[in-house]
Amino acid sequence: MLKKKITITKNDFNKTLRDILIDLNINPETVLVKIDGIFKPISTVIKKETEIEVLVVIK
Amino acid sequence: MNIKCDKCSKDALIYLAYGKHNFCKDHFNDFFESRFKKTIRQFKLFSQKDYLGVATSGGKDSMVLLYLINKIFREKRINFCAIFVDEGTDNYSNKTFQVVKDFCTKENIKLVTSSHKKEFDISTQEIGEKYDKKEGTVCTYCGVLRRKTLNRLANKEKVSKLLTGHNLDDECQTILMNLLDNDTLRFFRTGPETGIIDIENTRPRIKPFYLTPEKEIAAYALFNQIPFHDCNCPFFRTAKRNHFRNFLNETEIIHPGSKFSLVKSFLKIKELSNLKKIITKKNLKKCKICKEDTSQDICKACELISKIKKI
Repeated sequence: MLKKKITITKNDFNKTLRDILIDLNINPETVLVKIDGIFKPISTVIKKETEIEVLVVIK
Repeated sequence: MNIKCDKCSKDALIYLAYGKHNFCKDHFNDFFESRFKKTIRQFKLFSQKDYLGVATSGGKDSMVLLYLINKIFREKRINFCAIFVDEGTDNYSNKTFQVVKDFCTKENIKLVTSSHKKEFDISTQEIGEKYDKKEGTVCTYCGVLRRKTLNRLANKEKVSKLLTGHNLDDECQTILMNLLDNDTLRFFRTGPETGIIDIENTRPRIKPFYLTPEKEIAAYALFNQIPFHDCNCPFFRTAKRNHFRNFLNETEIIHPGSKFSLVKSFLKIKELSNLKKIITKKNLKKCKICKEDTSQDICKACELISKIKKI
């Protein structure tokens, strides 16, 4: 499974994972996201610098 | 930062935009399994009398399907087996088979298998090395042979219904493709149950994931650690279907619920058209080569094999 690691910086604070993925040209309909090894919903709002792992589940 | 589940105080793992649901693992599992059972009831896909053949490729959709049939229906005494077709693709088929075999062994599920090589004396690998690109992609050949092999295995095993892992996304793509191909016969033939049901050597194909989005199947597999093989077939190429996949996924971001609406609209159109079975017994002949039922003089599988063996 294709996995990408992305670091979210302060430019994207207070955005949802969904909006961040769209800004990165990643379709949220095709991926699941983990933070610190735990799945997180794309409605999650990012408030601090975070590394996310994006799993591409639909190719 | 942690979003809570809509139904309890646990952290949510997944957000479903079409319903604005945030679910923890347990409540997502409940939601997913409940819809699976509802789809089977709504479309009357099978009953306790049926012997089910679960077409299992080792991919996420069919492995989750097999897992759920085993989990939910074994205790309800519904008989089933797993059916695997070895396409004979180097460095791929053996890996997918291993996933299926290991799972069936662990869960004590009967596994029925055959291969393209055994049924047609040619493997997908050999087709890939010889085929004429003007006839399409390797998938064109492999898909036809796989369906025929599944049918033969289902007949041999005397299953009453063949289950496939086709999901909501697959169906939406198919609906759009057939519509834009102006293929109205094929357009109306698709649905939660397909195939001719009153011909003795053909088994109806049913799709319990008809209303389940592909992403949720992947999530269910990952959350519940269901084994599946993830890599693409080496002959996978960019296909027309991918354009529709991308279009539908982009539309779903802007208008969540579009995929469900498309399928529901299609089902209403189909009902209003009052079309039942397009092909009946009267239209069928026996293939001149393999003697199996077909609407043409020579069935598609024999036609393709004849072409490839001449190359």
